Amino acid sequence: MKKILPVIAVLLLGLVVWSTCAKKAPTKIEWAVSLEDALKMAAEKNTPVIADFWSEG
Amino acid sequence: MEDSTFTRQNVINLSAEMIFVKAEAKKDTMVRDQYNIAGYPTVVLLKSSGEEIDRIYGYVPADTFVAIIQDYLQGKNTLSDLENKFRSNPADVNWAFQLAEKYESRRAYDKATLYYQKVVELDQDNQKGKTADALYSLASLEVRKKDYSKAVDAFQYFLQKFPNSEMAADAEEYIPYCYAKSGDTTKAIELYQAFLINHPGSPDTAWVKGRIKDLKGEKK
Repeated sequence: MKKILPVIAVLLLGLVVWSTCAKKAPTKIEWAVSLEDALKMAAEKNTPVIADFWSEG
Repeated sequence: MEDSTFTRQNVINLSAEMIFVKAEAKKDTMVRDQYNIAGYPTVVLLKSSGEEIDRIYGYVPADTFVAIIQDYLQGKNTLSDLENKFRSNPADVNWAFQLAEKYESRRAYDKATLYYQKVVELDQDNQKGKTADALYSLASLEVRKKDYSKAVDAFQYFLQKFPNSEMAADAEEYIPYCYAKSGDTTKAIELYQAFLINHPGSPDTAWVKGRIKDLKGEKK
């Protein structure tokens, strides 16, 4: 039993570290408020932008 | 797109790596004009610098959307990629057709016309199944360019070549529309009435009847 305890402790510690660090998948799209803002954020993060042009009716 | 594609998890997952933004075309007219938006929905994929990578014109389901975006990010099937492919194989009807569609979605109508004409030249017998679409698109482009006389000729040529096409009824509806736009109300009414006789079960019946009333100056 004494031999198993350190192993369990290490596993638990690993689990805690993993759950803290793991990046959660987004559950919805967070839309930028304007294209200007989107491009600013994209430049800061060096990521592409998806711009959805839509129209009612 | 709002209630379907953008609510699917595989599309939502893209938002962890990209910035998503909406632009309502009627309000953001400057942005719309800056990116030469031809119709809606149009999704434009941009580099962080604001330079366009490519665009998706029209509705696409989530799986297709993700696949296209991933291709574009790898430089596949973008405008420049297709231009290179067509340069290396200038007899390929499919590349020519895809290029025409790409240019049409950018409102580059002269270039779109050029590539649709190439499709027709390369495959006059419609072996690849793109010639009817190309002829119809050539006529539609004349409508977009507001050259209604040329549009009538082009739709009539399309109907002569492909009278049984599934787009034939649409072409028959477009012709009176073009006459009305060019001021020939009498001809437009005559052709709309002929349309109602030739297509009694058309889903556009109510719309066509409304057009006839409008052109006659009758209240709906």
